[in-house]
Amino acid sequence: MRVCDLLLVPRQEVLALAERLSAGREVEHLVVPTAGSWLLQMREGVRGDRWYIGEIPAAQAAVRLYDRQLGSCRGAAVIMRADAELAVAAAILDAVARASWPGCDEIAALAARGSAERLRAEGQRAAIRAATRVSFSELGTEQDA
Amino acid sequence: MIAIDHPWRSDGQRQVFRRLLAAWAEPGSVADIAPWCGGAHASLAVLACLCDAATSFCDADQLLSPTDRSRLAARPAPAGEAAFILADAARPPAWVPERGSLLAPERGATIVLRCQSLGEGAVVALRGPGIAERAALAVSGLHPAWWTARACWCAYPLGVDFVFCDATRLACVPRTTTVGGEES
Repeated sequence: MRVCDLLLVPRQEVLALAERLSAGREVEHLVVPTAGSWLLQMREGVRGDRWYIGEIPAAQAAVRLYDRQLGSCRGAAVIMRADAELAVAAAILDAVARASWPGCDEIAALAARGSAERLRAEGQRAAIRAATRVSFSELGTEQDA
Repeated sequence: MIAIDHPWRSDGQRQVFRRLLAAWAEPGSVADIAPWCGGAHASLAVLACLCDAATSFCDADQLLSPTDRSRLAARPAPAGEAAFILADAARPPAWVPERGSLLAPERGATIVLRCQSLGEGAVVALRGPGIAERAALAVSGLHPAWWTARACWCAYPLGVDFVFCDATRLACVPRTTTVGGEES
């Protein structure tokens, strides 16, 4: 399961599932949930110089879930959206999925929907790219002729 | 879903930061930050508003829980290199902090000292910028070796800055302040 696929389904569904799976369990924040913009640093390939490509919106969260019967488990998420609440929800789902606690099949189903959406979008983009493909070998043949 | 209380809330951290700036400007003055401590020790509230992932931190006497250290998000460092150090005021310092350099005096460490109580105990006289003539600071549960060590560490512009914290209050002694010995 790719946690990032969870972000491709409607936000409210992710929040609702995380709310349900954390009900009756204690949620401890291991880092303070934060949202904002991050500077994205890149390293140039020839001289190895570092430079900033720009800023991206981001949020992060890390939680530990406590359950009376099942014990505890940890999860974390860094998402490319300035939405701390969504990052916390994704971290809770990550924790439940990693620990294979009850409800992990629902998370997998939600992620599968997101995965299908990602594949559909990638297919669309591939089709757009294919329409703009140029065969340079054919151009060369025309000139030779 | 985000059930997080003071001292981790940004609105409370801004309030603590304002009190901290005021306390730096008037060395020896005591500021009450209880409303933004959320039941935690004032030293944690001070660190929560100063530390982030870009800073380094040393919990010299292991006063914080692993969760609180994780929430500060600061890079762990030995006491000799850390930008922020938390220590128990009752124990003498067993390390030498970063004092900065003439080219980068701002690298001098900020030492947060967890003491028993402010406004009680041994009184020291303070002089220097931010003080009209002379101020008095009373700190109980402070080992006298801290003042001796501070005298060795501080040679303006190099040196360290002290933040004294009891359960709910703070007081600052920056490196610019001259500590004139114990009073009655």
